[in-house]
Amino acid sequence: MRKRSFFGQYNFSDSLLCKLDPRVKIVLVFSIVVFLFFVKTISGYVLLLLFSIFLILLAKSKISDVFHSLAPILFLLLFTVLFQLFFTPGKVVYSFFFLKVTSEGIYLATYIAMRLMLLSFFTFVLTATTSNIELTDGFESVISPLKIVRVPTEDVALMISIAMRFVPVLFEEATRIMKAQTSRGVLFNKGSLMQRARSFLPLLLPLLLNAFNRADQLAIAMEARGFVVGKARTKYREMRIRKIDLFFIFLFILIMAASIMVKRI
Amino acid sequence: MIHFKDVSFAYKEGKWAVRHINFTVNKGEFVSIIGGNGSGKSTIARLSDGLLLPQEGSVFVDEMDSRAKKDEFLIKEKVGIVFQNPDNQFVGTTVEEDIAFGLENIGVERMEAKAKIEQISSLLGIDKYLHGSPSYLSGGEKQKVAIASVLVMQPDYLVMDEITALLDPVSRKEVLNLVHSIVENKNIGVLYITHITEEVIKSDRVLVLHKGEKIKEGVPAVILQDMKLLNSAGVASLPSVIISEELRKHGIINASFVDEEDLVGSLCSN
Repeated sequence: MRKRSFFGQYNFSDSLLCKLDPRVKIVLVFSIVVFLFFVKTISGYVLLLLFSIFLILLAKSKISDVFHSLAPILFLLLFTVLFQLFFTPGKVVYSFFFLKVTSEGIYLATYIAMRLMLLSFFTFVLTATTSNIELTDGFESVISPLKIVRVPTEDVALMISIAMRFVPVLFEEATRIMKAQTSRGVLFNKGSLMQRARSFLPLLLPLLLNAFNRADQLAIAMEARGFVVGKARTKYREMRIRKIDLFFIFLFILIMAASIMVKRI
Repeated sequence: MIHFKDVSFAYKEGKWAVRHINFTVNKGEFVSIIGGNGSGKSTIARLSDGLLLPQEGSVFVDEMDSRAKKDEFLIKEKVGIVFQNPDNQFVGTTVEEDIAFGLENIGVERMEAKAKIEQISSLLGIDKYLHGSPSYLSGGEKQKVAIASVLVMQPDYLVMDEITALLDPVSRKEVLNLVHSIVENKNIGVLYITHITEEVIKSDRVLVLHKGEKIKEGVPAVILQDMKLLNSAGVASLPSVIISEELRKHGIINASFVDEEDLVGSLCSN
């Protein structure tokens, strides 16, 4: 059975992207996310959007899953877009009571929406095609120069990886608890704002308790299997940069350059 | 040898989880601990490889005291633990990565690790799942992965803490048979913790725990016939023992049987 993959959840497949070196994927996705802030044209963003859709399809993920991944940032996305849309000074194109939509506001809202969406899409591609262990290994290798300044890079990497592993687990658990509490008469979507907020207590308390319990058990199991914080470990997974990695590096550079140079609209 | 010498442990001051526990597990020996909820079974599991340290008494693993900081890592290498819920033990996102995790921790190089993983996964019949996610496996298969993840580190002793508690009866039997067949061939000392009476029949010795204290130790043939003892420990007696006791009371047979086949044999001969 194929489960819906969402942000933070690795979707095991035989796709080309799954086979890429994790270090290359991390650096490329990080670079393109930073690069998003330098793109100044809508056509540049459209090009990056098409590229991200191409990567999602190459990762053998469903586009619907990617939109599902937007759910956690939907509120932030809507708030930012509406704020920019209505409160950016400039040439008014539409007004409704005290709210004024300006042409500058439309541009800014579109830019911000595109940036957030693309940030989410590229991160989705990374997490859907890279297992936690690969991410840990890759991240550890990328930040390894920080060892010089005594940063415990192995522990930091493992900590991040486990936290990411728990994101989908917690989502699934929240859904389960919500169903269980609904069957016992808790109404999550009815009543005033205060009542709704209060109704989330029966969800949050068991969720937090379960999360602490899981974390505790995982820590014990890891310790029982010889994991010691700060102790050097061998690496089972081989990380090797191959021709296909070089091809993707070239492709990313090409797309980034094209999105900067594409005609301003 | 795992040696519990007058061990006591409390999670909260003055409230002992286990008290004055004495027993040994030798290499090649299958020792079971049976007891109800809150009897201290899981505490003993965690004490046996230094995850918990005794407040009184000592736990020795091959003469190494679990409290000695210098032997901490070696003890964990020698004693492997499998817990009740495999979902809370998985670190890797594929079965292969999860089995490899322990090997990476003890410094096994890639090629050697690969050979070990292939060997153990084929032994446990999970080789076809190696590249898949452990989350999508059935309960029995998940527990096999958890066992493989520990066995691959080639421990001298294996502690299994209610590993069949979340499984259906068929998977439970399958996992238990697998455990017996593996440890018989590997000369591993096993400490098998359970509350299911049927699971301790094939053990060399059985310890009965109640409220953190060992109330009896002996061979299964003796322990399992003592219905009063098992009831007082909060565990169910074997159906074969209950039936044979009733038959004995009615003078149909003259002995009590732990093994169902022996009971049937006795009835047929009568």
